[in-house]
Amino acid sequence: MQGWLSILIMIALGAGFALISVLLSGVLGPSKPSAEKSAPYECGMPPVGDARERQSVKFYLVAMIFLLFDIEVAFLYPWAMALRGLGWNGFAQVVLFMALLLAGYVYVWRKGALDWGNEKTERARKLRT
Amino acid sequence: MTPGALNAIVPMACVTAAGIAAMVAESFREPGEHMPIAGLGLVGLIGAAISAVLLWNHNTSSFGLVSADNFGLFVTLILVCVGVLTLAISGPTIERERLPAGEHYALTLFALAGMMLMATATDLLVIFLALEVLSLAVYVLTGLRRDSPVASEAAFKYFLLGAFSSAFFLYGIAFTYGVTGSTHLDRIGSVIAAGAAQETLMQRLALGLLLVGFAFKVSAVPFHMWTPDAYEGAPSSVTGFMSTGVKAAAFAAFVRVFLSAFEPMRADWGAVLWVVAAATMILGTVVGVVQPNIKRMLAYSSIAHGGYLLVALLSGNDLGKGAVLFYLLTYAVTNLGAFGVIGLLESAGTQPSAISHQPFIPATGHQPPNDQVRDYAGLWHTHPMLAGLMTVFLLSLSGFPPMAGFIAKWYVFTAAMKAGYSGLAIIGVLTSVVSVFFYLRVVVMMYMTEGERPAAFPAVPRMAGLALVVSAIVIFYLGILPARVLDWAAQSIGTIF
Amino acid sequence: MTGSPMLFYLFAAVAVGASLLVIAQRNPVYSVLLLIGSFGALSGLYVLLDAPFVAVIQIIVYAGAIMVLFLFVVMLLNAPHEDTDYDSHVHPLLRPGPMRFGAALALAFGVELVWALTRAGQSGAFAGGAVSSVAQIGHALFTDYAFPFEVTSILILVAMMGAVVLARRD
Repeated sequence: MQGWLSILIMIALGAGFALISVLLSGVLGPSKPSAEKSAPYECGMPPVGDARERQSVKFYLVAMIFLLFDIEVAFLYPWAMALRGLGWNGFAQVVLFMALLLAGYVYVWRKGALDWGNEKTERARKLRT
Repeated sequence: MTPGALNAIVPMACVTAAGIAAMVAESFREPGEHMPIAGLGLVGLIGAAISAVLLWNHNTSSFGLVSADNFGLFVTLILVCVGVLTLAISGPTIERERLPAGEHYALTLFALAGMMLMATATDLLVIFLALEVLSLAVYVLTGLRRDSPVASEAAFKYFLLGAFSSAFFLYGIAFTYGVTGSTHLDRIGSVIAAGAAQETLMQRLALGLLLVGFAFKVSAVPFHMWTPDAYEGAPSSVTGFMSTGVKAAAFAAFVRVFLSAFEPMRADWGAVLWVVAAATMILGTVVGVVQPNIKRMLAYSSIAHGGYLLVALLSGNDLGKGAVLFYLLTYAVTNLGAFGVIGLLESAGTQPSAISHQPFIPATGHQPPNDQVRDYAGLWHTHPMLAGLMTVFLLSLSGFPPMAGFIAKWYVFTAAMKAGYSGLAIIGVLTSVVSVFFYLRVVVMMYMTEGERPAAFPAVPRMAGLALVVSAIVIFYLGILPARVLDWAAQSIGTIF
Repeated sequence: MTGSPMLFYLFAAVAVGASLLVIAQRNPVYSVLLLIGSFGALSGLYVLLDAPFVAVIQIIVYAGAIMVLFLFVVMLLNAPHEDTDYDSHVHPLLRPGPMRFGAALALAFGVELVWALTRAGQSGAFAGGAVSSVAQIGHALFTDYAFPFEVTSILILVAMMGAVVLARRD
């Protein structure tokens, strides 16, 4: 359990810093609100409608890909911890694992799943139609 | 690591490599560019077939988790047939539906690799991983027609129910591990046989959960609900693929798990499986009779065939185990042939000159898919070759004498009689007789009814035509001279059980 | 259990409280955020059970990636509030389809848990080997389970391809 104490302290420090910063700025800063100041954006278009509008399916796709690579990284953690005992054999396995997923990465990249509406996907769409 | 330690996984490694190659090739394909990706898959499958033949009788094992015994290799070879036929017949469907070709082939190859792994794995954990690889790939293949609401619904239903059944299966593995302390089939078998595990209730729970998982994958009643929808919604080539490949892989693992590890608990699962097999045969046949859609009809036919396979599994004697293998091979060739014809005729429906006689055309602007039984009216006059091939496939499915289906069914029922399951054998024979009715309905439609459809058929692609003709020849070969293949099947079960 | 009972009760209270709030919320986005809190508390419980690897995975994969996915799905579906077309006074088992199914599952799960807990004293034929440290898990993963590990990469590849094929826009 000893090792976890430092993590607990870390969490407490992080949360405490955020909390105290917000509280302190609220307490110490002068507060003179005006209509302009309390608007969400001081300049630009006035925001209209609900902030939660329908998101594009692209967000979902990116989240899905993130999840899959996240699982990949999660597998590296126990390998890193057991690195010395496993030697080159373990290294070879991880390289194979990464190489297989690299093929997936190439696929995802080339398919334009990571592009955010730049000219490449536009061209691909034009060619397809 | 000693040289040769990896031998057992060579067949599936070939297929996986082909799948990855297909995936990378697809990602470097410019839009509109044609690439021989199906050829890549063919190379991988041929590699798998060669390595499987070379491994025959060697009984090798890798990592203690995968065992290339003759049983697994026989199923691997069935899967190679499934793969080759699928690659050959999927061309027209892909073009007609404008499916993403590279993904279609890559996912098919990954699914095949998963199936091969499932058929050769000797550890529940690996069986589960293989099951997931093949299931995920097949879910996606089912939903490949993204502009079709029917396909989306099918994929969604299949995915939800499939994920649910996978959870059951995983839960069963967890309980098995809790009771026996291992996921390895040999050790599970010895622990259960020794009666060392006192927790009989837990043990039964584990057994039941695993049974649910398998029953779902082989679409046995009452876990068959997804089958008609998924088969109807998937593109025809995919339907042919999943009805044969998934069945072969799932039954291989089913036989391995239940007739080796859980054989000592036969008293517990025998009665349950009896009821399931009987219900599966009866429901598949009776509901199949009233289906107007040919894909749904073949889905119920596939459920009924699952019932016959369950009878063979339940028999559990050498004859029964050999019958499972022979039946799977026969069913794979026959059913893929039938779906190949369906896929070609569907393609015919999109010809601009083909005027639909259906009362409405869906708002999407697509022609109706041309998959009703009455769409086959008069096929004999417009395309005698396809009508003849379809007749062979349907008669073989119903189990008519000179075709392979007859020998397969006969073998199953003999095994059941020998094992003392005469009740099941009688149900099987009766349902077979009833099933003749719905297969013949299509045949009668093709020959004796005048079609309203103008004869606007595209030329049958050479690959697909060749594959269909070869399938028909194989069906006759297996039906007339089955001795050699039956011998191989009998040999392959001798090595493990 | 090596941790103090107080920590256990703290984490358990947070987990149960957050989970209850998840189903009490009308706004699905809040539900998702509360579920993250519940996962965090669960992770603490795993630490107390001497399963640091599971705890870390719980944070990295579940509270991180999977909840992001949930959040995006909620936003994609854009269901700001749950429809309540049933009378909330009706017993959960009598409500329409999915609700009844969920209630029935919860009931079955409850019975199962009670059954497991009352039998907790008697251990089965198999007493679990104590593989707890991440290094030990890594060792097992890359020796005994090396092959399943590589198969996992194929599984991830298939999932990746499936996501791209099904979610691509054209």
